[in-house]
Amino acid sequence: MVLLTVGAMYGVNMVAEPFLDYDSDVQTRYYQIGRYILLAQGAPSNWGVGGAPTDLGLASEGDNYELDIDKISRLNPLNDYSVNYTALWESLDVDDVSFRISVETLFDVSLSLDDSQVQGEQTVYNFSVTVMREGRALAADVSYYVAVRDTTQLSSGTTDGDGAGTVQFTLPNSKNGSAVLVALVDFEGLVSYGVLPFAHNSGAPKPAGTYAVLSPMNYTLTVDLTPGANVINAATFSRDYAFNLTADGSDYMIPRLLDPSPMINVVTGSNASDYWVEWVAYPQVPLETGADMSADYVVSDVSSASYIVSVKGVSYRFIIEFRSPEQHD
Amino acid sequence: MTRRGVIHTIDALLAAAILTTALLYASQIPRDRDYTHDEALSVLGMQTLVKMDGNGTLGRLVNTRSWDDLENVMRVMLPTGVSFNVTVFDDQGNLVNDEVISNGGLRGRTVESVEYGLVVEEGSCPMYRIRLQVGV
Repeated sequence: MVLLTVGAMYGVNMVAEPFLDYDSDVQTRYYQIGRYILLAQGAPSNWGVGGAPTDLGLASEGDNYELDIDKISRLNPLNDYSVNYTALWESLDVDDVSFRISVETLFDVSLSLDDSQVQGEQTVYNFSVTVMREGRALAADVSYYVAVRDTTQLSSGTTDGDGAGTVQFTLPNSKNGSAVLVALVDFEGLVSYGVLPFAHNSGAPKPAGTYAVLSPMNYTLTVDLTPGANVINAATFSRDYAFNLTADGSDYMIPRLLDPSPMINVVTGSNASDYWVEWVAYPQVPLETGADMSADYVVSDVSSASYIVSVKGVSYRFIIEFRSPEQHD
Repeated sequence: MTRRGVIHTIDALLAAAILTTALLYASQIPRDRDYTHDEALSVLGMQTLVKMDGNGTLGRLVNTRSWDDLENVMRVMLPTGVSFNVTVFDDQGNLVNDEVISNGGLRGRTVESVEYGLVVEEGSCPMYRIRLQVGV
């Protein structure tokens, strides 16, 4: 009976401990660190356009919670100019706290190719789009763009009360190769996007990064080509505008749009007989960077906070997770 | 010791072992304390209203009495798991919204409320008071 009682006390204590041991000072400290990262520009204040930060802050010169487009993009590990977690952690200069940052669009845009029909010298494609937030359908306005080789087409439409919409594009068969459909969706001033690579009379599109790695920074798109690959065209698509980009060596100048919209940069090219397409968003979101907080023994000690932030007038969800390994390990 | 006593002793030991094992196992299950929204809810609520007002969406939806759209925008902007209720008053303090603007009612162990003064840049520039209650 003694064993039973002691065992029960131990077990209950272990289960209830995280809830009883609510250390509000620790939580407050975490949230102050989070707010500092979001509200401070860091040092140097323009570290987004080059170099590593010596003091971690993501803010731009604008309003509170307005983040710098390049500082955000350089958090993305897929960017050639990304700042790794070690450098970020050192620049935060809080030794006993590890963190993980994720930035995402506020709602989801899903694209799918319903069917295609060859009609003479052309192929007609029918696509569908679904706009949702956690399973709730959203009626929204949509701008569509298709890019293949040196051809760009655009269209617009809406989604209905079920969050569903359709769009049709007709592409000449002579422009075969990998193509991409871009959808920029405006729901009551909140903008998100979806991208769907598809095959136009060719083999399936290769995984992203096969022919080129695209890295936007300081309104310049760096195109890091694999051997044998050549660029045919580079373009930027936003909610209301589409531009072909001007080349400057291996870089392309991204326009500074006032349009509150993510910019989707698409590069088409060739490699021997293949015609490929690569794309990247600017700011380069969604992204995740930081310490691994997913391990079972870690997850119970993680504190996180969610914020709505703006980057060039577009709202994103910013989630930061904290943990103090020295306190728990 | 009688045979019945032995059986009872074994029975008690087995029960103790089972309970202890179960409790020890339960203590090892990862526990997500989910402090995601423990960051002051009022901060989150105010931030949401300011962002919505910043691009004119809040004023437009209130002025056109688009309560369903306002609810959807709130659902998009607030994190999953946060419940909310929005009440709109005019400058005289009269209730304006004739529908419930909520994602199913306030829930959670913590509920906070923020109030936001809204001036719509249209016509006679009507003023409203928005009360946003958020819970988690």
